[in-house]
Amino acid sequence: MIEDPFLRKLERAVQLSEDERYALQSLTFNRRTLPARHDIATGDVTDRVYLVMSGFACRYKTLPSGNRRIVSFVLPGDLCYMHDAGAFGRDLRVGALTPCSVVDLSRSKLVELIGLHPGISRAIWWVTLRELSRAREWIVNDTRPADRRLAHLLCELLVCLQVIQQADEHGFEFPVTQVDVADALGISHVHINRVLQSLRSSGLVAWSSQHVTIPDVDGLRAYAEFDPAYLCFEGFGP
Amino acid sequence: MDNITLQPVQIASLCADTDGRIAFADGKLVAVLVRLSEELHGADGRAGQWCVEVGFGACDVGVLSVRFDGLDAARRWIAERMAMATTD
Repeated sequence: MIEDPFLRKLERAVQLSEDERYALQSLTFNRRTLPARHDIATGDVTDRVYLVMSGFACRYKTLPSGNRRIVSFVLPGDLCYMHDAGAFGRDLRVGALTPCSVVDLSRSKLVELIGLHPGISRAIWWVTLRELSRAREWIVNDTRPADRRLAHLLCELLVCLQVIQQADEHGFEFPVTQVDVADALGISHVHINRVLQSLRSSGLVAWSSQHVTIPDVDGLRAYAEFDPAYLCFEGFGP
Repeated sequence: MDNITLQPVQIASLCADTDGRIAFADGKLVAVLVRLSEELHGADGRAGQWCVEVGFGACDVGVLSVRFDGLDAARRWIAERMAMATTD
């Protein structure tokens, strides 16, 4: 696996040894392609950790009323169900928003590697902290007006996709639907149209033909009050 | 059944969705309806529909986009919600 988005991301936090890189890569199996709108994981108890290698997926929960809330996007290189938190986390599903390439890892073997390799231990710890940090920022982002909330999400995606070389300086391919984004922002499927139009007419964002363009990244960041520190890409600790 | 009235109103939404109705049940404000514009919602096939932008009490819809093809349907929905609230 050359240009592995998982390792690329981990190495933002930790310099892995050759052994550690090899050990992690040897852990993956069952590579498959899932069509859009299919669940990657439904919260059943298994020893599997899922690693998305390409495509866009999301962690989500559907309320009895049918409302879906996307609580985070899953980008290439992201792990799902890394920890088994018991019954507590199992109501959360992971679904492919676009066709996704996915591999599995054995959780028990991953835990074994964490015990054996300090670099892997530190890297997985970083992934966990990062998830928590991002979840916290999403809660805070819900407090912003909807247009700034969308601006913040797009700033986040730009940074995260740049790390895995899936975004250039001013934009990225974004083949998800507006409804997906509305469900990630917690706004109605009608209101997302207005919010997008507002950012478009301000010249801050263009989103067409599945491509997002941000002509003035600093301008959008200022508008969104976006500070990428919470994404922890500058590593962690002293 | 409650007496449902819909009063035309212009909404300063800063976008093309400006045509609205404020809905009263027995004289009390229960919802604000917005007519979805061609400019913003034509591509979704929703232009011309009436959407519950905000509802109060029995008409609270959260972030759901509850929509109707016409105002009569909206009026019936409000009446049903009010009736359900009083029989609960």
